[in-house]
This record gives sequence, C-alpha cells and structure tokens, in this order.
Amino acid sequence: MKRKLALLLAGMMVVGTLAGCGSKGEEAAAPAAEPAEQAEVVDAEAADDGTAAAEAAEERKASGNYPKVVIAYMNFAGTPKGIERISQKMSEITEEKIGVDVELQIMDAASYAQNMNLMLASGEQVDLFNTVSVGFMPCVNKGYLMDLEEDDLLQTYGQDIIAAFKPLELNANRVNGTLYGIPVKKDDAAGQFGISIPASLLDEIGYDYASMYKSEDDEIIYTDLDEIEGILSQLHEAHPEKTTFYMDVSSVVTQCLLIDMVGGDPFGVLNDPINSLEVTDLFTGDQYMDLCRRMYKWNQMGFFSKDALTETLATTVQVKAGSLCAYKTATKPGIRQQESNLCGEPVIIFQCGPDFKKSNTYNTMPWAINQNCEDPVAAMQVLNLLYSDPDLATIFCWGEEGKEWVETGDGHITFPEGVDAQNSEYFNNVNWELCNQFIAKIWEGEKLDIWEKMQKFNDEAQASKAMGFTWDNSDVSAEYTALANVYAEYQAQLELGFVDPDVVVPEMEERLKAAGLDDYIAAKQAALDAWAEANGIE
Amino acid sequence: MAKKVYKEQMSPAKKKSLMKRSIPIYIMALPGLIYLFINNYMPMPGIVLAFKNYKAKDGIYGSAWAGFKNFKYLFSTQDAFVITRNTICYNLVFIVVNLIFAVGVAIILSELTSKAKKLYQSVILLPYLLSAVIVSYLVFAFLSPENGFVNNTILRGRDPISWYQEKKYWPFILVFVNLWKGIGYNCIIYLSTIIGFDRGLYEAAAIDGATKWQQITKITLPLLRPTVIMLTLMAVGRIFYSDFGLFYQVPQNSGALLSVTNTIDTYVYRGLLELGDITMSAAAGVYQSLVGFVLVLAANLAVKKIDPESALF
Repeated sequence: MKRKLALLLAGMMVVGTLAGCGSKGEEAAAPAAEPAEQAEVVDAEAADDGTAAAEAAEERKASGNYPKVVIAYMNFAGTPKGIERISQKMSEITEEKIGVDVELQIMDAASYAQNMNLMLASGEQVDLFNTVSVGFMPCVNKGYLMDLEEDDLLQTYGQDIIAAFKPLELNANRVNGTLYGIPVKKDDAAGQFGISIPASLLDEIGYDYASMYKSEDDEIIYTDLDEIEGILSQLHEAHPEKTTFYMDVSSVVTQCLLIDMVGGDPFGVLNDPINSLEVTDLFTGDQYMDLCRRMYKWNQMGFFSKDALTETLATTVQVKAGSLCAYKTATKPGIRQQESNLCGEPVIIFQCGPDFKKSNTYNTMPWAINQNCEDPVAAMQVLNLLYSDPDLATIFCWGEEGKEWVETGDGHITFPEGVDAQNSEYFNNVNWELCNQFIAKIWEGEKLDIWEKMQKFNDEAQASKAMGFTWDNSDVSAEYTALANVYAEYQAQLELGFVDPDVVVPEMEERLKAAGLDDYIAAKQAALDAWAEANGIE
Repeated sequence: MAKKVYKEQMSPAKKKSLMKRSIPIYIMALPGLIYLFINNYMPMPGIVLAFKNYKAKDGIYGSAWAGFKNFKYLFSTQDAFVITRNTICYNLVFIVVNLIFAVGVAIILSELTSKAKKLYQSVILLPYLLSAVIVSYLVFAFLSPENGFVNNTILRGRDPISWYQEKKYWPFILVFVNLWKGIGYNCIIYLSTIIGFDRGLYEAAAIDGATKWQQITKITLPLLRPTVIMLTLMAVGRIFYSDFGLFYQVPQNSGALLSVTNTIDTYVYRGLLELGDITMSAAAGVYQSLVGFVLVLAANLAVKKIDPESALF
C-alpha cells in the first residue's frame, strides 16, 4: 500500500513540474509581440509631438475599440465601494479625450506591496501603478518598470507631464540614465521636528502661543526643543494621567534630524546634506546622539508612556481618545488643518528644525508603467491626462460630483447631505499619491491658495546636495540585512529614550561594525561619488 | 503488530478484494490529494527561483542563474547562529513539553466520566482557534508595563518589570504561551486514540487488582507509543519551521527582544519586508525544506533501529 501511495505522489510531482513549466513558458512568450508593433507606430509619428498624440487618440476612437488601462494605487481603508462607478466616470472623460477606458485597482496599504509584487511578477494586467510601498528601486532592480523614454514615449505622448515638472524633478527618477518614473505633485519638503499640541491643552496651562506667530498668516510657530521641553513638563504636571509625548518610532530619524538617508536606509547618511556629499555614520554623529540624549531625558522626566515600545496606535488617534498631549509630526503648508482634522480639535503646530528636501523627495513614490503593459501609448496618454485634466484629477482624487462631493459655492467642495468620511463610497485621503492633486478641486477647510503656498514651500526649502540620487544595494544586501537586524534591536529603545545613549550607542555601534557597517558605507559612498561625477555635481 | 502478521499471511485473492473494498476510501481521500497536489506539488518547479537572479522581464526560467548567491545572506551574518539556535532549541523544548502535557491531559480527560468532559475539552481547545494577533493582545493585557495585569496585581508595590524590554523572561513566556495555545489540539489525537483502546484490557486489569496508575503506565502508555512516535516524528520534521505568529506577534515585534525571539521565519520576513526579494525567500524556503526532509529521514531511521514497528516508512 505504502509503495503504491509513494508511486502516486511521485507521479503527481512529475505532473506538477510539467504543469509549472508549461504555463510559465506560455506567459513569458505572449507579451513580447506587442511592443514591437507599438514601436513602429511611435517611430512613424514621433516627428510632431502634439499631432502624434491626437492622431493616436483619433485612431482609437475611429476604430471604436477602446483599450483598457488598469491603474493601481493604495489607500488605508481597502477597496472603496464606489470603485467601479468611479472607474466608469473616469472612463467617460478618457474615452472622449483619448479613446481609452480606465479601470481602477485600489488596495489596502497592508497588502499593496505584496499584491503588486505578485501581479507584476505573474503578468496580470496592471498598466499604471504607484510605486509607493512596493518601492521604486526594488521595482527597477527586478525589471518591473518600463523605460518611459523608449521611442520617445514621454516626449510624444506626455507633453503635459514634462510641463508640470522641473527637469531636476523628473531626472530624479532616472536610474543609470533611464527614466522609470513620474513624480507626484505633493509637498516635496518637510519641516523637521514639528510638534503638534491641542490648543485646548495649551490654554489650560496658560501658554500664550497666539503672540508667537511671526505673521498673521502663519500656521506654524518656529521655536526650539528647550521651549517645547518647558511646555511638556507643564503639561505633564497638569495631566499626569495622560501620556505627555509620543512619536512613531519608524519616522524619528527621517522627520527629526537635518540629515539625508541617501539610498533609503540609515546606514551611512549625509550628516551635513546641504553642503557635503560625504557619507558618514549616523549613529556616532552629533545630531543622533543629541536626539537620543534629549529623548532619554524626556523619558526620565516621565513624558513617555511605559508602553511606548509596543505602541501601535496612531498618535492622532491617541490625542482624539484623550490619552496623549503632544506628538511629533512633519510640517508643511496646511499641516495645522490636517492635524486638527485628524485629532478632532484645533491643534497648534510648533517646529524646531528647518524645512528640508531630501534626495529621495521625487522618487519615493513615482508613477510607473509596467514593463508588461500591452499598450504603452494609451497608458502614457492616460497618465498625461491625470496630470493635466482638472476634471479627471478631481474624480481621481475625490470621486463623483453629487455622490461623493458637492460645490460649496465659495470655490471649495465638501460632502453632500448625509455623506461623511465613513459612508462615502470613494474617500481615500491619499491625494499625495494621486498624480496631480494641485489641479483638483479643494476640499472645505483647506485654504484656496494652498497649492500656491505649497509650491512656494517646495521652492524655498533647503535641498539635499544629493537630490535625485538612487542606489541599488543588491551587491551588499547581505550586509544590509545584518545591519537592519542589529538596528531593529536598539532603534525603539534608543529613539524613545528607554536606555542611556551614552552607554548603548557605543554598544550598538560595535555590533554594527561587526555586521559590516564600514563596508556598507564605503559602497554607498562609491555609488554616490560615481553618481555625482556623472551628474556634474561637485 | 497483530495487523501486520495478518496482512502477510493473506492470499493474493484476499488482497485483491481488500483493494476493491478500499476504493471508496481512496475516493474519499481524493479531494485531499488534489489539494495536496495543487498546493504542495505544483509550485515545486519554483524552487529554481532560489538559484536565479530574478528579473520579471525575463521570467522565472529566463532569468540568469545566480548559483548560491541567494543563500549567502542566510549564512553570512552573525545572526545565522542566533536564528538557527532559537528555531531549533525552541522547537525541541516545544516538542518535549507539548508531548508530556498533551498525553497527560489526554489521559486525564479519558479517565473523566462526568458530563462536563465535553466542556473541558472545548475550553482547552479554544485558544488553538484564536489567531496569533488576538493571542498577542491577551498576553499584552497581562504584561503591558503600564496597565498590565501582572505589574498591577502580583507586582503591585514592587518594581514594575518592563516586560517587552527584558529578554530573560521570554523563553519561558513563549513556551508557556505555545503550550497554552496548542495543548487542546495536541491532545485531541491522543485522546481519540485512547478512546479507541479495547476496554476489555482495562476491565481485565481491574479484576486482577491493577490500580488506576498501573492501568495508565502498563496499558495506556505502551499502547499509545506508536502514536507518540509518529506525531513526534512529524514534529521533528518541522523543527526548522517556527510558528510565525508566536514569535512575531506575541512579543509585539519588540526590537529589544530580538535576540531571544528571532527565528528563521521572522528573520526572513523582516529581511524581505525591506528588501522585497523573492529569490532570497525562495532560498530560505529551500533550505528549510531540505533540512526538514533530512531530519525526518534521520529521525525515522533512528526509530527504525529502536522499534521497527513504529517507523513511518
């Protein structure tokens, strides 16, 4: 009996092997034919940009055969109910303008990267997608992304995209000279070490914040950590039952220090990013030590919850629940409104660091075209429209008029009667990811000149010298894994002040060195130097 | 033993009729076999991924070979020792502790005659049905440094313990949680085996004046031996796999505890979460499977030496 069973299983294995081979082989062969045809069309008409795009659209409309472009992005609430209706609404515009249908695929942040990796690897149809969470460089390394300038694709069909950005912003999405992504129009800089505190609490301790604004128009109070420390100890005294201060561990280094984590990890950073391209160790740098010492002091003063190490609740949710007084946030125009909305009451925003643009600002979450895309011309034209057509952008960001939003009469839009954030069928709150929110309508509560302010903020912020640098660390990925494991052991304890940095940082440093920190930094420096030379940066 | 002798003495004709009678049983097993085929055998060609430098453009079979590069990251770091030690040692302790308690509880349950027996059985099975995330919060309710049960009752007035920062307690916590969660399920098979034993043996023993304890040690345990060996063998085969939920969720992913909670599975997960490299995860999968396979063969061989009747194959 056993032998028969073994034979049966062995047989199954063989069949399994064959089945696996067969299906994969077919898949690999199929898409290869398409791009060649496309290339011819593009070549023939590349001479005149505007007309080529129009002609492609006319041709599709005349044939009555609308290709379907699948657009994927992530939100934090899962697939919205109204996804099909919104896809149709968007298709109405894209059909009329360029003769293409669109279909949305919206996935929850928790599963987006995994799903996208599967879809991209398996050849399922997804044409345009945002690389957030999946990671721009991993996508490039795995060969998922299409060269956007192949046969002048962008130049021919994406004129409005080119117009929407400065060359530098687009060029940040080049890897070894090849353009793989289109950045999102959003806040490109971030105010470092912002602190948000509900106004009601400040009133309670009698803190006069109103006189601290530099001008009437300001929404941020610029101050320093000593001042904040004073406020926090008063809050701690007034509300011993509440947690005085908390910050999300994953963003302490990225949002509190004037450093640039070039290449996307904290192992070797620019400690003086505005002036120098020297990659140095973050953890022995003064900025990091000062931060950890400050947090250690705050923890000793009782500002943190004892549960902070395992806290997973968002800071704003804790404020809303009445269990937290103050938290860290990255600032930008509109931040006071945004945080007030999230906290459910007006907050006051302080900022202790400068506004700063990191090297990865433009390539953290660019939009890209799947290399498997069957009709890159249609995909590029849809993308172009998303960056240039206000009606389409508004539907993409906010949903359908009358169902998800109505005009308020003063230039804003808001929820219709009976609709709110909970029961709306398309309220994603991820407009920072959706191509060009600058041209979409403005939600009530936001100032009408928000995007002019944002542009000014983006233009005026100090920028990293390594702006646009990307790095493929696959040659030192073993070192990276080891380093990440060591850091994970210490990160929360150090950055939330649970251990004395003067004792623990040297201990961590020793283990990081043993895990290959020096080699890793050297590899990063070499890549940065090569990049700087290729781009003519001193 | 008796069964085997009987089988060897069967005539070919008898054997054939036995085959015929088994057909319905095979049909009953068919859905399971199909599932096994789809889930466990069809993906097997994917093993080549572990040796490839995967590019989506070129496909799985078209990508360039990478040799053993993908395995390098598993072994090239100092973590390799820690994660291997944690995985194997925890599992060894789990196997021993779970076995002792599961058999013990099964015997106790089988000896119970009260009507509440079914209730007890359900109650101890319940934790097994909870997801690791819920279990992690049950544990957190006990161990939270600020509001936890332990710090506020047992340790009230004394120095509170920062549970999620202190490594030394976690080997015990994890073994306990694993036992609490798994015991209901583990004892089911033993219990059902015990219930199947011939009651006549116990009655005869009772007439001969055997005490309850003697009945357990002289009848139940020896009869239970083949089941114990088979289940232990299967557990040994999975010694290189760890319960991801237990080691990732229950310690609340606290970095300070990594050196006692990091296992091969959590290490790979953490590495991949950031690197997103499927070839490396394939390599880790191949490594785990190979070692697990060898361990099953070795354990079976050992059993064959000691007690040929109980060996799996």
